[in-house]
Amino acid sequence: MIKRLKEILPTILRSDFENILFIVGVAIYWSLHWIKFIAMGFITSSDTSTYFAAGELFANGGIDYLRTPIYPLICHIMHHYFGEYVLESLTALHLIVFYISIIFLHRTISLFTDKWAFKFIPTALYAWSIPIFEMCLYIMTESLSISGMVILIYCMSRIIVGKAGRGTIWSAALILLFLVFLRPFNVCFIPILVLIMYFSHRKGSLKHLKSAIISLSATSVVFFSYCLWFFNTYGIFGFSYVSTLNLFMISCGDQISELPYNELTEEVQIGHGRDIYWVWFDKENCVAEAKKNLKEHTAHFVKGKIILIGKSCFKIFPHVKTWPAFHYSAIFQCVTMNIIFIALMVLIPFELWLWIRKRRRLVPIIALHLLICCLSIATTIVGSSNGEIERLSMPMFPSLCLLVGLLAEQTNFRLQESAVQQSQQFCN
Amino acid sequence: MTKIKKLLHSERFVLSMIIIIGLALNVARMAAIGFQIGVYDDSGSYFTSGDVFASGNIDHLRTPVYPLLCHFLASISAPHTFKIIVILQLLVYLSSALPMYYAVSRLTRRKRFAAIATALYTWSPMFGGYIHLILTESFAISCTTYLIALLTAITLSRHKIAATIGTAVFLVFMIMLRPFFVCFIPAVAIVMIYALIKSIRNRLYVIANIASMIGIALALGGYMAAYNRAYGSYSFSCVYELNRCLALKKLELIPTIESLNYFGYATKGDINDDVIFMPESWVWQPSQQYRDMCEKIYNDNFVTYTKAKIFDFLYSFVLFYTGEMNSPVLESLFHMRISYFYLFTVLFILLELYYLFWRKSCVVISAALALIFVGGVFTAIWGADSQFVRIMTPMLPCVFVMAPIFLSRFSFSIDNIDKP
Repeated sequence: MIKRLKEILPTILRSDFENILFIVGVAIYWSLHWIKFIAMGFITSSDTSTYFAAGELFANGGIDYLRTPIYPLICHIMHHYFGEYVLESLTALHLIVFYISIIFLHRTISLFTDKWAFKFIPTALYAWSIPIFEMCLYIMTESLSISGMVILIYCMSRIIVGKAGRGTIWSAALILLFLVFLRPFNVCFIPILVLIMYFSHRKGSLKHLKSAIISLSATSVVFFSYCLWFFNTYGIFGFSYVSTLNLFMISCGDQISELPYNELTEEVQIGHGRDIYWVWFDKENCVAEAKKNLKEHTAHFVKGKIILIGKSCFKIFPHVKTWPAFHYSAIFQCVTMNIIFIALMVLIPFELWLWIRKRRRLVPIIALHLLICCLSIATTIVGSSNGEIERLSMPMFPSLCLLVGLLAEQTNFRLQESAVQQSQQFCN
Repeated sequence: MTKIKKLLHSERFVLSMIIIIGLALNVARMAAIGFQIGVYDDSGSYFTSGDVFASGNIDHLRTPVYPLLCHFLASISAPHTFKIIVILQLLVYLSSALPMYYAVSRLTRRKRFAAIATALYTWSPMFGGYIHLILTESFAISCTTYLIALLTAITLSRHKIAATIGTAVFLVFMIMLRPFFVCFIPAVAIVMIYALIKSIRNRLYVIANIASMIGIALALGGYMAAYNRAYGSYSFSCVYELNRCLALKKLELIPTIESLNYFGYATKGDINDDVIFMPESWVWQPSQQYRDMCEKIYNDNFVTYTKAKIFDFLYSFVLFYTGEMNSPVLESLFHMRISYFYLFTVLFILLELYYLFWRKSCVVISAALALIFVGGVFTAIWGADSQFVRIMTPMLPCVFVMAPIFLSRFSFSIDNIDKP
């Protein structure tokens, strides 16, 4: 029996299909088991209800000042079809998209390595991460944003390795569109896609330049139209008021402690005390004043941001809300942000050194992931007001998982063939 | 360019640079806090104990080395005692970069690994943050590094006899510096026994080895016997007993800590009749009846006590190794969770077990390092009541040796050719 197992095991381990099946199977079992284990239901915040309120507005043909359309519309549709089970259905949707994204992550890493361990470990890190399960319970945009990011990374990776057909290029543009309208924060990934297409074209690995140009142009037109629509309605050229609100909050400091609340209409009420949402209107043109204030006190603003970086060093990444529930079981799945900062500080010069030394294998794809991490962190630090850096920069989590496998492949990481010294060196 | 490359390949140059930068960083760190010296109630207790030892008695609370050093310096130049201690701690710490380099380079045979590990060790705020404190931690960190180098020398050097005798003497010195180091005895024993077995045909070495082991036992046994005669228990100090009482009080198993007295303390005058006034010092002088009661309660509630200690261990997962740097941002960058070190050690042990059983490789130094780590964690959790991070810190240098060994088990290479 053991002999047979020994014969079969390497074949099973080397097969991508069985690997994926195993990882996804365990992820399904573990996520459901964990959700049952913590038995705490859905995680909502004061932001959750704003999506339902915005959903109603979007469904009626309006445009919301705070939220971009995708998630509010999903919430609205789910509410329409599932009624009081809307939170359950949203969680199920998050979970399903997450399980699908595991397959994409595995396929992404398979583009760059043949070694099963280097494929297995990053995928397992992503698929079995308890914080990611928790994100699926979060009735917010994080879960879909992370899963969407995995699919976008897959498309980008295909473009980098020169395996992108028209479908991949259009998919990349569409997913980017989806991600930005899901969460305006993802706007930081637009330049990455443009850069990848540009460099792939220069390298000659982009075979469908026309598709790339048309897809990017179409996406830009959609973005521009939305921004114009928003400008016509609210007087600001952008996707939402969130960044403006954050700017205002930074400028005002503690002055805006309480925001006014509204109640959801009966049609979209979700119950369980979650029917109140916060609102904010720029009644007295205070944003303009805040912007003026910030301009005058730029040094103070920059200092505040540096302090924010210092404070964020102690934050746990990936973000976890239900910390006490799995304090010790999942502690090794999280790191403090300072570890990520240090890793980035070491990896960026290392990759630059490799590039200069013309050892460029895998450098572009690793550079892509480093760029994703840096932009996520930078956007969060510049854009956020309350320093929730670990939650807002969650879309970089798949990149961090993939970096593990890619760096192992780049350095040909393996066990030494010969036994190491200690016994051989012993002097008699 | 060739000259620079040549210079970088020179061990002396690399080590000097590491030590000079280490010196600059540590001085900068101390300057950032205004050259303040950390004097606590524990610092005061060393001076109090110093007077007891100087009068030819054994102190109840402290082992002799650090108190005697404090006493000696206070009797020479009281106004400068703290500064001299800090400078001594800094020098001993910087000098410990050499044994660190020696140990890593001999164990991994990779100079680059050794240089990186030594640089990280010397520049780390985890260790540097203890230099300006009048506590035993800084010396303890440096001593651990020296001990690791001696253990390496026992297995890998040609001067095994000197290394073995040196290790024995040094271990006794370390325990007399800080009774915590009792937990290092298994690690030292495993290396010495291994060396004895390997060199069983070398009579001179066998005699030296056995004599060293007997020497350690006699020295420690002698001190314990003297302590027993003075205070009625076979121990090196009452710190463990006190911490146990504190833990029992926290569990509400005993009502109070008896006779734990805090007081201001002035040392005896130095050659110019100057004194140091310690704003706070402490002693613990419980009655025998109280000690017996605590012992009985401890025995009766052993399970509860053990459970509390397990929770302490779990609690330690989320603690940070702190360091002090010039600015808050830089300081935050170097905070490390203890759980990372636990995880690394578990991985290290698994890898070494793999090498031991599958590759038939000898892992005696790795075993000693792992034992130092595990023993350090166990002693800190079991023997202390709080401040686990500070108490665990002396076993940390072994992580800086374990990490290069761990990495040397793997091979890395980066292709020269751009593959498609």
